[in-house]
Amino acid sequence: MSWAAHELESYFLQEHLKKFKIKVSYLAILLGCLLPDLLTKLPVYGLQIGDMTLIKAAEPWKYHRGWPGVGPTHSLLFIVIVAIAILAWKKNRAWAFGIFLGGWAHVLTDAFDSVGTMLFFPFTTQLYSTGMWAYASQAGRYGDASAYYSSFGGVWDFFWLCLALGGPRVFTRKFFREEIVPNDPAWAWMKKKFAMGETAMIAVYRAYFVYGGCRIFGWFLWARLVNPERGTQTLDWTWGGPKWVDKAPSFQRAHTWLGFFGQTAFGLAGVSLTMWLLWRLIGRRLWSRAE
Amino acid sequence: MARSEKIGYLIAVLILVVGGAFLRSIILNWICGPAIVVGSVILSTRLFEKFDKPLETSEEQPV
Repeated sequence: MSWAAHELESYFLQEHLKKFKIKVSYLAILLGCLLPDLLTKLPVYGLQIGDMTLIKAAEPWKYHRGWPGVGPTHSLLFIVIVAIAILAWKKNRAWAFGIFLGGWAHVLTDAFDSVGTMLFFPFTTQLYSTGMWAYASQAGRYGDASAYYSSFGGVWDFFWLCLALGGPRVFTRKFFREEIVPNDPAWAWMKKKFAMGETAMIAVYRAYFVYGGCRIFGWFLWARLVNPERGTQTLDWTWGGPKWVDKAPSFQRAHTWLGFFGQTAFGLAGVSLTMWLLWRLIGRRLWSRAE
Repeated sequence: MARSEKIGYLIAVLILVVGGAFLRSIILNWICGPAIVVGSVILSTRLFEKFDKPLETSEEQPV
């Protein structure tokens, strides 16, 4: 799984959306980026109370990314369905499109770890992964943090930080006034409800960037300087590393290339057809009715 | 950006990076982390407002 990348994706997307002249809500992109993990993450690490660990999945990698489990939250079609539900409920295009963009960004970026995501669920349960770093949630929150920030996972987060910083104008007051606020009625509501000044609202807007960026350095410093296991849990920038972690076993994968391409073609066709039908039968009508 | 606002962000960065290295997920979680940023900025703009140049404070416009 990606750690800080999900908080930083939203700013990168925001920077590149202006050229398409589409109204998108920043808050919806952020929510979409967090959505697949929002209600599913607790059993991955479990709830630690003293020496006891409660509500922990026996095989977190299967629970989090597989089927049966909550793996479908990391699929393309799930995000489309949530976006349509938002469109039906809020009747707001900027929110529906934001959820769609943020959710897809999450699903695609998580496909870089060694377990990957079921992109084309329910047409295939095959997991898609580049195997860039080891999925290690079974090692607990701190074991996973150490593995992630000792491997290409940390580099991946830093890459997203650089992408977000590549468009500095998204962090300016002018951009907030001209692009963020007009696209989303939630800001006017927030201002009225909590009597917030502009500086406080901009702080809310920038908060996930500052948090995401600092999270990379905070965890990296912990893994390298404070972690009591740092002597054995060393930095390992090799593909699929770190080698020292007991990474999640491979599952839900085709054993041959023919099987892989067959399932991919079926999954891709199924998801494309379903999305087209959803658009023709429901989405188009809701879109024209929405603001 | 007003000086008081800059101080707020700087304090937030220090808390999250240095505090995060020691306290880990107690502060580095998706609720506390952003709340620290917002809290630091609001608090510092109130505390250090007097150090801001008049031009910068007039930047505060209704949205």
